Amino acid sequence: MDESQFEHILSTWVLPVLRVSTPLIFAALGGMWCERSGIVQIGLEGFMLVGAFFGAVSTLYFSNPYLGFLIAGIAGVMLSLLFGLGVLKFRANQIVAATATNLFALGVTPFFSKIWYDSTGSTAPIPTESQFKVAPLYLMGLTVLISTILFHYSKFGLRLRFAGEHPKALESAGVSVLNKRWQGIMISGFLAGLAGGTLSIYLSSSFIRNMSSGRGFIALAAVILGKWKPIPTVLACLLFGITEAVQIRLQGVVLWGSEPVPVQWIQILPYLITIVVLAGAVGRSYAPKGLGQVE
Amino acid sequence: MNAIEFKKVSKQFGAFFANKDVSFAVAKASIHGLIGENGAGKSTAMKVLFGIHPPDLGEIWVNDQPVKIHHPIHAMKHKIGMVHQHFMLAENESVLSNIILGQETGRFFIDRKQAVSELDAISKKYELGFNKWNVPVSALSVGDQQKVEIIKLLYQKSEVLILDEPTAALTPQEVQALFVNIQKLKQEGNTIILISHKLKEVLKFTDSVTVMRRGEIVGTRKTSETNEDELAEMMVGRKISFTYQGERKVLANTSNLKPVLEVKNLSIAASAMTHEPLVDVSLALKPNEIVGIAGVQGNGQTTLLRFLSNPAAFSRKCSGEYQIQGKSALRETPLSLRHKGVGLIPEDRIAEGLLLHQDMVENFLLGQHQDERYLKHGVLQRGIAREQVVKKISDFDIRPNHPGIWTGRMSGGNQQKLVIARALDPNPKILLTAHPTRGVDVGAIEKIHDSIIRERNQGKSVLLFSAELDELIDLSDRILVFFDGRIQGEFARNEFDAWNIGRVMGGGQK
Amino acid sequence: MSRWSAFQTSLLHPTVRSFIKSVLGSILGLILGLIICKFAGESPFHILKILYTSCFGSGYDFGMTLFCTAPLILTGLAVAIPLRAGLFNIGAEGQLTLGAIAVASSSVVWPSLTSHPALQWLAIPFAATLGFLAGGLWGAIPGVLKAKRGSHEVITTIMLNFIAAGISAYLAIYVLKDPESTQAQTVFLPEFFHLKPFTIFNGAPMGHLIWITLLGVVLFHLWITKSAWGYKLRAVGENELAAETYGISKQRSWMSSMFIGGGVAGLVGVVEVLGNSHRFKMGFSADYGFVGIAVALLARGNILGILPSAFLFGMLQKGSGSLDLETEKITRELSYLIQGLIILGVASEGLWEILSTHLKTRVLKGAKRKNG
Repeated sequence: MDESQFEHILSTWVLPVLRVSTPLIFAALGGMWCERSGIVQIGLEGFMLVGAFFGAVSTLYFSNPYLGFLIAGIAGVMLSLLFGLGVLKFRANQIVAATATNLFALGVTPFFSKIWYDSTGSTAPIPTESQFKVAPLYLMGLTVLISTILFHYSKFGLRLRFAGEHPKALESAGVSVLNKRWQGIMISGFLAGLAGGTLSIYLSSSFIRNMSSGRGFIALAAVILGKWKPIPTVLACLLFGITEAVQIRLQGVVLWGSEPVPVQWIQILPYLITIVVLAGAVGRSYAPKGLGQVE
Repeated sequence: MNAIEFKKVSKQFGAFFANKDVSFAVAKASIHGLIGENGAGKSTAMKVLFGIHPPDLGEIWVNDQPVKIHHPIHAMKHKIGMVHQHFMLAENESVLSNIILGQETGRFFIDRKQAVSELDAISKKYELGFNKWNVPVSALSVGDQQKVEIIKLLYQKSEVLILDEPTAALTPQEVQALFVNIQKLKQEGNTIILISHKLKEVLKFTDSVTVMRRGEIVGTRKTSETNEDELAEMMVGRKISFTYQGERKVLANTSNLKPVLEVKNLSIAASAMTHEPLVDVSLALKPNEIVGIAGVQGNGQTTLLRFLSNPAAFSRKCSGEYQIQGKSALRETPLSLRHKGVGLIPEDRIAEGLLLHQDMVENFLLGQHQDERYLKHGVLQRGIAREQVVKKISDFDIRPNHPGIWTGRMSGGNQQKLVIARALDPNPKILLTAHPTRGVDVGAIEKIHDSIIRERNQGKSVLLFSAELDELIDLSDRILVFFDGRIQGEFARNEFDAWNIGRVMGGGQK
Repeated sequence: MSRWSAFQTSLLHPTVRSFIKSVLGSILGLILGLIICKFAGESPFHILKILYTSCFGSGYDFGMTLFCTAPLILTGLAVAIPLRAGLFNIGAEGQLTLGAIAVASSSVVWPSLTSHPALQWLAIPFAATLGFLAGGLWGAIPGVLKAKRGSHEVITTIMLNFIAAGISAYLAIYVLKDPESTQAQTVFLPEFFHLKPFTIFNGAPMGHLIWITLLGVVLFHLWITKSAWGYKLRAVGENELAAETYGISKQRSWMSSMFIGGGVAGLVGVVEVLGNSHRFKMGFSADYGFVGIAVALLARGNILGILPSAFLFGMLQKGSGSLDLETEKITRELSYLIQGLIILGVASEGLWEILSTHLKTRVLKGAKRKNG
């Protein structure tokens, strides 16, 4: 294979897959941390949405994507605090509270976009010079690295894992389970917020209404497919990224007959895989033992 | 020097004294047994010591100093550690992670090398012969998991080790190995408190032994100066309570009657569904008789009851025969058994018997929802059921006397009366009864006993599972004692003798 | 017993308590939402007035409010019925999507319906059956997976929502597409499939269907509370182990409740396709399936409670549509925000405990002062 061929493959396949996988990887790692601490997390979608919105807004305001990206993460944390308050403080059902935060995010983003940009649900376009070129890819790589190392080799990772696997053992070892769960929730808020920021500042040039469009749930599917472990979760995200890239490439392409290829079949692939995996033994035996349990 | 001393420790749950004026001392570098029946208060005492339930009154002294232990952290600070009956191990995590949790080596990252060398040193010092630090806990045998729990305590530098029923799930070989290890621990200066109900083990392996009964200390003996008979008598005590005063009718020629319920050579292996196996159990229940099932919890009684009340669920997991009225009942379900005249009072009325967020009428219908008295043309007859409940309320003296009350808001005794009233409602010929008076106030106990004897006197058959020996002795015509999934001994009514039965419960021979 | 203490005792009744929680939760959510509007510079009273006028201002408006309410009643049922058996049906959105496309496909599925005038009276019942079956079978999938494989229904229903969206898009674009339209929508259904709206609603697409829906709710209420089947569902939902101990199969309850719940969600297709657009349009659902979760939660699983609960959310949905036009700063999405807050408020068990203990100590203190 000569160099130009290599570059061609890189630019037409590898890079697009990495690009579309980036938000999934951020969100999925967040979801993994949270679920590992014992809290079911179906609120990634909402965290992503506020991240995407406030990321775009602050990039516009400060003309600095890095600051915007950070604020995207912080916005996710703020919403995750609301979720945590409901779940950990007021003992609301985890699924119900996440559904509420998702709806809240769906409502709060157009609310501010109307006030600030007089638009029902999107921000002004971000000028090219304030947009990310490749930085989120590197940041994503860094996050994967840090997450993996923290998860497997740090005291923090061990304790957080036990909060999900065997909370009683952790408590009797003198460590607060509640703290670990707060931390898990906030990490999921931060990383899902960054995932949202990736969508609005990197993959497109503005926030649009409901732009996460199910990616939070795909990320959760990746966590399940990745058996709640960092590297397999990232691989699952890449797999889903490939299906998304393929689907984008095939949009309107006529491969056989006279009709374009129905991309819907590729679109539903991640979800179908997840269900098949869940129906097998995998989904049950690898989930954290204390997931969703409240003592 | 005493490693641990309890000084008049009391712990109350509501009006119930789980521990009352508990005082005893454990000498340093000794193995101390703590024995008693279920609910005697030994687990509570140890939970007080480990900081899970802080005491209401009294003091705990460690190394002859008074201390305050209000949280497991405090206990760990005073070098007290506990191996719980249900291990505190995360199955998917490695042995190493489970051991070092909370006291990890290294600053931020875990220094596995150092941890391994520390653990190897412990294993070597105590001659444990264990080095599988990197395998997941799920890959270990129960015996090895227990070793891991003990190593965890040693790693935490515990000097007092509480072992709660450590031999419950071990094979005889593993038990032997465990006690060799415990001896080694003692030689290295550690103190071991062994909670057990197996008298033989306690006699063989401890230096001294404290007996508890009904939340109080009966006494402490040097193991070398006591014997099985004395300990059994201390454990079960003398008959002090509620002797049944009513008449015990005997039908003529009961010996000729055919059994209504019969189990032959029943064996059920341990599985996820049943942790307690059954081995070659045979029993027969005749009309006009109450057969008591005695045994310390966890010796197979739960499995037997689950099997008898829902044999279909065990269809591929059991061997042997089960007959009701002479016909095989291996495929029966709870509903079809009910049709055949089997009534059930389940072990745990809260978990298995009641819908706590529903009223008495709804609960009365549980299991009776297809009874033709209460289901007409597909419509549940709440009105008729309600009338029945009102009747039962006055028959059984259930309080509060309002059928619309949530069962979750009723006292234990009244909940139990409702469960019994429901079981007796279809007028069953056979009654499977488990712990009918557990957590029930004294006044209600008498009523419940009355109703059980009344059924018997009417020619019915009752299988009575109970942890209260007094209750079994009071009510039963025969008693079968379970130990390790087998029937260890059978006692006829004229042979009833509390300490003798107690001895068989602890694994002795009749 | 004095009247006051009788009143206090009645407050202890569980149904009364959950009713109070729901009312307080909705008020709390509404107030918080209005406070947020205040920050945006809109007067809360102005907003309330717009909402009111938008919902009840004219016959047309009221008809539209009912048109927004009917799907929510159905999706509320779709969530509440499995909930009684202890399952969380997040999948009503997917179930209603497939139900709608099944309804829209009924003229294609049974072509002789259109060609034989004698059969035409069957059109609407046939379409409704098709919708029910499509939604029901789709709902049964997670029920079966849960019963047979132990797969968690929340995850599977979420995934099935997306799969349903993909399938319906495929069908609408490739299989059932209206060749005369440039949009992704199915062929127009013939006249005799159409439900007639009431004339007093001045064109709002709501007619006798609303009575049928109300009747349906009452029937479901009776089914859940009076029948042996309903009893089994409730027993499993309340205490699986006790239900099994007394011979009730949890697997059967899970599967049947999900089938029926999904089927009812599928009937949203009747409201939308037969009542309004007469074809399947992609994205027709205003998140009915998700709002259905809110409806069921606010009703706290009580089937009759779904009616007021769905009406409240229906009003929010209809009323907030006018906010875009009539205010400077507020958009229709305000309804989502308020819904989220209401759910969170109602679900926060701990919050109510804290409040009620606080209240109790104050009442006790007050009583002491009076006596002492």
